[in-house]
Amino acid sequence: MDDLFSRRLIPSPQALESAVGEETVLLHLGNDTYYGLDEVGTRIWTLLGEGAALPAIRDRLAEEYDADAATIEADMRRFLADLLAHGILVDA
Amino acid sequence: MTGRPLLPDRLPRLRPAAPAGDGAQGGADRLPGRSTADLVLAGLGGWTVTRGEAPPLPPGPWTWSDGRSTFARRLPGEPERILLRTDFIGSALVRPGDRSILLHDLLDEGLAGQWVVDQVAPRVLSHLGDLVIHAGAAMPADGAAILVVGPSGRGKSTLAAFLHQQGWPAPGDDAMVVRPGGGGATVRSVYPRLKLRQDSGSRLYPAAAAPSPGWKVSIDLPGPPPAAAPRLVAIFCLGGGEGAAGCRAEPLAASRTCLELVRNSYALDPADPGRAGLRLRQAGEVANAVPGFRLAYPRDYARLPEVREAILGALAGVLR
Repeated sequence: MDDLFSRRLIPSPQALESAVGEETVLLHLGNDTYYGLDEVGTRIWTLLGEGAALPAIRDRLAEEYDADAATIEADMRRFLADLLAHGILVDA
Repeated sequence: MTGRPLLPDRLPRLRPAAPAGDGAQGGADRLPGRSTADLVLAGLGGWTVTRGEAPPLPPGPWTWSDGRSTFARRLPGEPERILLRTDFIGSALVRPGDRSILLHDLLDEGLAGQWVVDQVAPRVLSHLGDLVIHAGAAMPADGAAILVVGPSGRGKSTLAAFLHQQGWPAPGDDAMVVRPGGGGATVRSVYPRLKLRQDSGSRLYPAAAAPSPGWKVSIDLPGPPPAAAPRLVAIFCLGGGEGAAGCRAEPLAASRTCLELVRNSYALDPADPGRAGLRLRQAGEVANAVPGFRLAYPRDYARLPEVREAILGALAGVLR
């Protein structure tokens, strides 16, 4: 399996979303599971939906949140692995 | 950053059940115990409800269940047909194209008409595009309503009935149509009635009786429904307070309020992805416009006045 950051991930066609406040509620139609994204998760979700690559998203977040890129990447890896495990994200 | 998995908040799961059997085409007669006016009141003016034998139905599994007693499946082919069944009552074949509902395989004729208003009508309204929430409701001020949302048996109808007895008009109970729009939302009942479990019914309305053992007590609300649907000013979500010593209402994130609305919404064909998406968007729009609160309190009738005070406290910043 390629390293996560070399993969191109997109929202699953089975995932529906609703923007609520600064957060996002997702529904996976295949397993009737709901998923809530906080503000930063919502930002990543938006950028993924725009087709951004993972390294570019990491760098963008590091700039927007004035945070260390390595820390951002570690958090992103946990977050993305979670979404992949639940089928919310899929490989393009 | 977090992606909070909301796994406990699944929709009801499937459970195996035998599909309705085939039946021969037969005659039909009118809906027992209910009038055309009841259907109009429920928002299904122009629909016909008949009772007869089921047409031949293709075999197939139920694709959805509420986890208790109600099952649904979409029949293959056109025109669109959805079959709904509730154990111990019967089945309904809903044909949205010709605005008709055929009741068949009825096991309890006396409850069939009420079942249409209570269970079938809310699902049909949802199918037609409304967001219909399983909730209690009360009006703390003229033209303003609150919703009480929560799992079955948690006490939302009991609380709504208590608030009603304390002078807050009840626009309805159990199935509430919530319409977002204009930066807010309005709410109306599918049917103007309170439905209470027998223990709550005997406590709050001692003279009322359930239609049969195990069924809820039904209290018709006096007077016509409000001419204009009241504005929805707050959503109170029950749960998490079983061990609570006190009564409290705490602000709830809009995303959680959205989730509670979707979890407690009616659907005729819950497996329909387009309509699931619409419900999610509608719930999100309502949650964005209307504040939500988590309401926790001990399950004790004697504490209900304190619950009312907690609600009033939460509404202090909302009702202007």
